[in-house]
Amino acid sequence: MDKDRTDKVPELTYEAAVSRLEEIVTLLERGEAPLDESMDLFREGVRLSSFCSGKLKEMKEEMVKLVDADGSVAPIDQES
Amino acid sequence: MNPVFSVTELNRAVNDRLSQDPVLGKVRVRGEVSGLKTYPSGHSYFTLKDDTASVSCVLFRQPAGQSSVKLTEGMQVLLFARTNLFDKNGRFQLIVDGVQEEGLGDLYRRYLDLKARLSEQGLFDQERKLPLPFIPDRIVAITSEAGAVIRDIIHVLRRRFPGIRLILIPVPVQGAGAEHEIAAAIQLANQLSLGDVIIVGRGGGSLEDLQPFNEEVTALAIAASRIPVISAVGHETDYTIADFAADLRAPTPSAAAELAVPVKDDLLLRAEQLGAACELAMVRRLELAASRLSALATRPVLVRPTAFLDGHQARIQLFSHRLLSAWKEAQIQAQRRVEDRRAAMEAALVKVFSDRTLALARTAQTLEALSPLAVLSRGYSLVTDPEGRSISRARDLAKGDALELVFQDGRVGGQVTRPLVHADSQEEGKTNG
Repeated sequence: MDKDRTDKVPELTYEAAVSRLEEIVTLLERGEAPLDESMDLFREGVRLSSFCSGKLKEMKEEMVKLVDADGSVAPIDQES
Repeated sequence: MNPVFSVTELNRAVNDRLSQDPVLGKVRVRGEVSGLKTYPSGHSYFTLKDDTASVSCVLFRQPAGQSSVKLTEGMQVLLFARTNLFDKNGRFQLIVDGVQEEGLGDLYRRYLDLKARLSEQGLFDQERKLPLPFIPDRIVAITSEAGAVIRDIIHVLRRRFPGIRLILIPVPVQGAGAEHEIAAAIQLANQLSLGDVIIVGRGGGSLEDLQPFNEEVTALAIAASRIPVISAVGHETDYTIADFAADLRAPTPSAAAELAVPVKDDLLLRAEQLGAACELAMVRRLELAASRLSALATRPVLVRPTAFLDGHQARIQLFSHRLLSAWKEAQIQAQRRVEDRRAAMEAALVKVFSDRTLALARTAQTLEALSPLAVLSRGYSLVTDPEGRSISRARDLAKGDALELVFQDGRVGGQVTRPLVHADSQEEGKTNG
């Protein structure tokens, strides 16, 4: 079960991950879920939190200019 | 030879000539207002134009304030003006003294007509609008390669979301035919799937500068795009056809970039806050579980498992106590009853005895009365044989028989000396004692 979840996380969009994370926090804060379930939620929440941070941090800048209709690109000349 | 002028002298001379010219000194000119700019000083600058030509105009504050007509972009006007050559740059201009409105300009009318037509076709319908991605993977900018617009966009993107990817499709953004290049760029971005959001725009300008964004071909290309399009044309107040057709309208290119991406630091903070909230909530959840557990653990039933017996025990003690006293009471009662009975019995017995004693005494009296001794005491005596057998008949005695005479005070022996004679001679039957 845990494995499934780990496999699923990378497929999530950032938005879905954050909204699931918010949901988890709400559930945990309500404190109504059984302890075992809470523990699972917590693990999922921690994973989602680091997934979100990671996804934000991993983005690599690439600012280019399209130079040809076939999609080839060149760096943007910032001075122009 | 013609004289040599300095530039200043030349401009001044031409200006003098113009102002003195009977025909061209003061003119009435018909045309369309374009590129209107009003400065804080109150002076307005604009271009008056028709289909083929244009002329710079300046409307100084005082006349502008007096005029009942408020100039607007695209307005068709009749100007009352003085011709003038601006000393400093030799530019020909009209100094406007009065304005008379003559209706909407052609461009503006075309704009309104197209807007109405496309709106009727449903091109601007809200249902057609595509949602923007929350964080775009890559942004496509369709604008001029030169100029402030792309620099502003890059600046805002870098500030808000460092690491975002941007691809620029350079296009001319004004002048004849620009609309076709803009439309083609939008189509190309879709064909090559260059990104997941498009910003198409240019800086502010006059109505004719913005014309490529008021063309049907541009509007249709924007509406047809599968990639969501943010329009970013001009300054706040200018609405172009492209703005209406776009999925989202930004007042400026910078604003478009802001709409395209969230602030990365905010997101990071949010993700971290949520992570922390998650941990805090879990800690609280565990504390809750622990406190519930400890509350349970201190319950009497767990602290002293036999506690539940206490009640029973107390009741049993009470019962046994009551039982004991009841038993004692019963014993006392029984004892008392036994004693009562015995007393009654004794009383009865005493009574019986006394009754009997009385009866006995009476019997004894009776007996006394019947006793031979009593008879003897009255003077009679009893005759017995020597063995003590009573002899009550004379005929039982023969001569010589021994006999005993019993008196009240003792007995004496005798012998019959004379047997029976007759009953009537009792004297003779008397013993000879």
